[in-house]
Amino acid sequence: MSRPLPVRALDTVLDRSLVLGYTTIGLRVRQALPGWPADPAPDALAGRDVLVTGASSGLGIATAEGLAALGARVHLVVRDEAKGGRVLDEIARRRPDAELRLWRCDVGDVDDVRRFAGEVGAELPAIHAIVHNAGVMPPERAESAQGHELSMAVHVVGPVVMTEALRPQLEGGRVVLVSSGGMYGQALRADDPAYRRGTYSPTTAYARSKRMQVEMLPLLADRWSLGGITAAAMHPGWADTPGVKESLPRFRSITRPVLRDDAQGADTSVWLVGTEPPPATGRFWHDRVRRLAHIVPTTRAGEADRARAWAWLEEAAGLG
Amino acid sequence: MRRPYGVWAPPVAWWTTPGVMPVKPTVTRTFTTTAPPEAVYDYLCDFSHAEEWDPGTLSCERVSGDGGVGTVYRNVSSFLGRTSEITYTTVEAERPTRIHLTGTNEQFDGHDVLGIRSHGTGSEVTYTAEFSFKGAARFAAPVVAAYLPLLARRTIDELRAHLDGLA
Ligand SMILES: NC(=O)c1ccc[n+]([C@@H]2O[C@H](COP(=O)([O-])OP(=O)(O)OC[C@H]3O[C@@H](n4cnc5c(N)ncnc54)[C@H](OP(=O)(O)O)[C@@H]3O)[C@@H](O)[C@H]2O)c1
Repeated sequence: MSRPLPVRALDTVLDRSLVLGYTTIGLRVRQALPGWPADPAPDALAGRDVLVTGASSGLGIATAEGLAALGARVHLVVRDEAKGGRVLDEIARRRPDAELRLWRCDVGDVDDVRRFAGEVGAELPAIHAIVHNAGVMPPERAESAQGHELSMAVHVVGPVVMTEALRPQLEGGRVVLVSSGGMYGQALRADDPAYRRGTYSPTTAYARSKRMQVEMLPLLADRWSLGGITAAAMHPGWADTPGVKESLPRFRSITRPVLRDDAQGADTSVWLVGTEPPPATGRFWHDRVRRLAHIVPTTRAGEADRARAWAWLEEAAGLG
Repeated sequence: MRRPYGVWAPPVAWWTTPGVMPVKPTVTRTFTTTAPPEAVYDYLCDFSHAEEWDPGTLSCERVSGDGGVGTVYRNVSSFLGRTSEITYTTVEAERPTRIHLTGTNEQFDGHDVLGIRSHGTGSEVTYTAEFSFKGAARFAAPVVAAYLPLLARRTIDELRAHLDGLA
């Protein structure tokens, strides 16, 4: 879709200022500008199965609901079934015609991801999309059952293992990695994906794992393209979710009046799953537009580092 | 002196500023071809074909290896009127999506990376070349970087023509 030059310029200014672009202000301005990519058709996902991880809170709930509104059969993938059940009932109350299913999966545990993928794959012959939305910001350094640093496990290893295991079902479908604008502040740390060196900081660990998603995306997209799968990473902007309230209370107290609501944060994920034709693969998105993976040159990864990170991921996710 | 890099710093030729060289001159181009990924991969993974598709390469022969990881090539190329010999080694070879070679001699270290993905009935290919120079040659980096866009265009035109010929 082509957008007029002044629109692109304004959009870029919003994006680089972060505060304007990532808040509700940025989204509202962009939606009002000419060239805003059209909404998916109202029944774009009718009869299609879509998985949303971390669907028991914040953006996950809004993503599930947005996809259900497009007619999808939405599979809520949660780690806490009781909480997930309450969320499912809530969505069903608001959207009585929504087709919803609840599944349990701990995305941070490779064994549990494989178990889950086996079960869901046995039941669904075709999956239109997975939105890898589950997210954590561990307050202390923590490790998954397989010994990976926990944010890396939940944001990178788990999603890759799940997608790999469901490649046959996903043929011709789409994969969305929910990343974060926080990754703009971190370079790829191929030398220390486990965060063993230096003092642990929750925001740094989180942002490094989101950077890893974005750096590995093009390689994953090439791999998955062989089955006609389109892969995207996106960042939601800043939305007022339970996750933000818990992990970034100070940030929230300052920015709250302009934070996005959950549906605004989920907008690009829903659009990426529903829009036709499928968006180009391997790209990073925000507010329905492709964005750069770097805004400061110092975070650019060299090819040696990228190769090293890829070797780590192949090992961690068991990519043969 | 270190130049502060704020969010607003324009993407100018920052790598020419001494002391601020976080990244090496790099050029990345993405193009489509009618050849399917396997054909693209098989052609490009044999780096001796650089004789055909790389306008700068005068000769390129396999010195050792079976074409997989660890294969070594001797590449003689000319660049801005100078002839140099570079030893290339295959460091990643994942059929049909990823090829990575490193090139090295006394003055130069480089990476050539090809990402290949399925695109309709053909492929989309991303070619990345990263350069770094050692010793006195490092003063050539800005010249090389300035010349890169032109070099990239010529290379991609040749590359695409040869790949389309495979389809
Ligand atoms: N909100 C923002 O401004 C913002 C900005 C940038 C990026 N993001 C990203 O957007 C995504 C959603 O964030 P949010 O703000 O909605 O956060 P949230 O309210 O904390 O929700 C996170 C969800 O992930 C689930 N989860 C965590 N660990 C899991 C695991 N091991 N297995 C399965 N599910 C797991 C949580 O389950 P429980 O419900 O059981 O806790 C919860 O449902 C995250 O990836 C986050 O990084 C958000």
